[in-house]
Amino acid sequence: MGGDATPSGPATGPDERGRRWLHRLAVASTMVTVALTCGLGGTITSTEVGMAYPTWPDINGSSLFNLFYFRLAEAFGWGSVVEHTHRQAGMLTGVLVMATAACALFLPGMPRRWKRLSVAALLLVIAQGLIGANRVLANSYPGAIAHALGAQAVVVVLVILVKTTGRAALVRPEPASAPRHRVDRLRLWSTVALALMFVNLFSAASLRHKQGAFAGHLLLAVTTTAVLLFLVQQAMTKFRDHAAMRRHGRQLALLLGAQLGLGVAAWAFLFTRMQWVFATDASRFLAQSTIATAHLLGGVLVMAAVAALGWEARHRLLPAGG
Amino acid sequence: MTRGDAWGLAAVAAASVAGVILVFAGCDGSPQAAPRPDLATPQERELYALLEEAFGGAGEPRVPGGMPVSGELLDLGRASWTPQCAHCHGMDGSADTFTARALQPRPRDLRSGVLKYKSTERGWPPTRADVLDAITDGVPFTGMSGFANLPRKARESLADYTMYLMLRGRTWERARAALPGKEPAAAFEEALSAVRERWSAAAGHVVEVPPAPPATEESVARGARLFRGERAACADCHGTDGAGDGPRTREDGGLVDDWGRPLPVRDLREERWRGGRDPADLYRRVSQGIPGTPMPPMDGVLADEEIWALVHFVQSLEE
Repeated sequence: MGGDATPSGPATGPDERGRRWLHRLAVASTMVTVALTCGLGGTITSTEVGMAYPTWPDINGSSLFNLFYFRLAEAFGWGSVVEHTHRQAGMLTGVLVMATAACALFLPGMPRRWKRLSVAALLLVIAQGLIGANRVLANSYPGAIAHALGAQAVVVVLVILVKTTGRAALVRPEPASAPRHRVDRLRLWSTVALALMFVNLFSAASLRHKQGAFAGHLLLAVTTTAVLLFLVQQAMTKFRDHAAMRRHGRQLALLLGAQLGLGVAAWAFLFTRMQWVFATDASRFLAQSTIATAHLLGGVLVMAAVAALGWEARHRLLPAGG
Repeated sequence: MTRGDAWGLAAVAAASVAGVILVFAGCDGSPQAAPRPDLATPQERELYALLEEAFGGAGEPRVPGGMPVSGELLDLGRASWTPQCAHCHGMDGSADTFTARALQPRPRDLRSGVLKYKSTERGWPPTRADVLDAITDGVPFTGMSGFANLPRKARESLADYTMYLMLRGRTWERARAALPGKEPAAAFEEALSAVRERWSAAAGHVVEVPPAPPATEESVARGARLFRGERAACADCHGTDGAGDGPRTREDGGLVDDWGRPLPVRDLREERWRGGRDPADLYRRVSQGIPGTPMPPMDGVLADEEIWALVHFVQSLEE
């Protein structure tokens, strides 16, 4: 996300067909990573079935490409099916990101920044696979926490790649009416927000893996919320005339609201007497794991929204006067 | 950067540092306590008080004298147990956790004192060395991973804590079973003595595996005849070709283990040996059976060389 906004005309851009393919692949990679890999990864932690297969890359001796779910469930239990699907989703992410990187590296006329971002995404995904393997083979909780952090780093890089390869990125940015110091402030705080979200994610992952205390996550969540609210306020009031910034601010506000709601629900149903409103163990387990996973996915989406807003502020927001 | 931004950054940095400190400082890694069993009568409550007096209450494990485990590493064992083992086996070793319910085979209820794969004769408890081996090597093709990556002392402490949970569980079950018609103190003493005596003597009942004869066509053929014959009757469950589809698997909904859970019979053509694939491991399993399952011991039914012939045949089935 480095560098100031620089106007760029459509005529000087890369080959349009190649750009479109790269953009589509980046979008597909992002969606698969968020929905499948992060969603299933979160489900695994919520349901505590991460060690259903203590082996890697095989699955208790079976092939990773095994799609006979009923047989897996019968042989190893349903927890193995969740873990198995997560590994397959991780593989799908890997294939898509490899295709993205190949597209950026080998199609003609691709800007260096796209190549760097694609390669960064690929390296992160490879590292994620190895960290995930270490988490399983060494039954390592620090490995599990690093795996959670790595997943969100992949999402952030992919979101930036999506933004930077999008059609809108090729259009010359319109100057906002806000002065330079307001633009600088937005850029500064969007970077701070992103860094803070990673610290908060560390606390959340530590809590979920029973290596950290709730108080730490609570304090960091409150701090992150305050910074994000400030970011929303800045984007929606100081850059009212900038349509994209308003849109990003609105998206972030909505996601933050949902995430706060899910956070409160997760706290209530995991840590308070509210958990006993469920009549059976099974219904309580289902509700708790669903809410916890939704809260994790909410965090991923807020992180993605902050990354997108930050990119917009850095690359598409010109102060008054250019 | 304005002064306001600088103050804001300082506040965020301070809150972040405080948050991270709280993450580490506020958690001792042991949020769960072992659940108490349902105690219906005053006698049961008295019995449980005696158990806690002998074995310690929640968070303070100790072992009575004369048991085959010392209490020196129990605190460390409990601290290691919480992050490494509790999510499957539970704090009390009952394996009644959500993770356990998602796994097949179900993690062992350690209170039963049963280990499927051990070195001792059928009917005898496992030794501490068996427990340490299981912790170090894990059980292949199950959710029980090996912990060879942990320092030796941590594994030793986990072995001690696992033994502690088994001894405590066995003492409780025996005492509870002896309670009708007895005073709680007498029932408890009787159970404690029996557990102490039996578990301390287990090390003297390790199975001696006789030297393995070479596998030949004749020994494999002999093993096949025994496998399919009436004396060993292996094919009743494992099927004539070892595919795990014998007639008993189709009777009354199939086989179940001692806990009443469905038990798929091993397909011997696959290389999925949970209890180890060394010839000596196989010999021990054929000779002593598998505790907690319908797999019977062949010791006393077959001679040593016949058991070896069965091992050779089983090894020849692997595809």
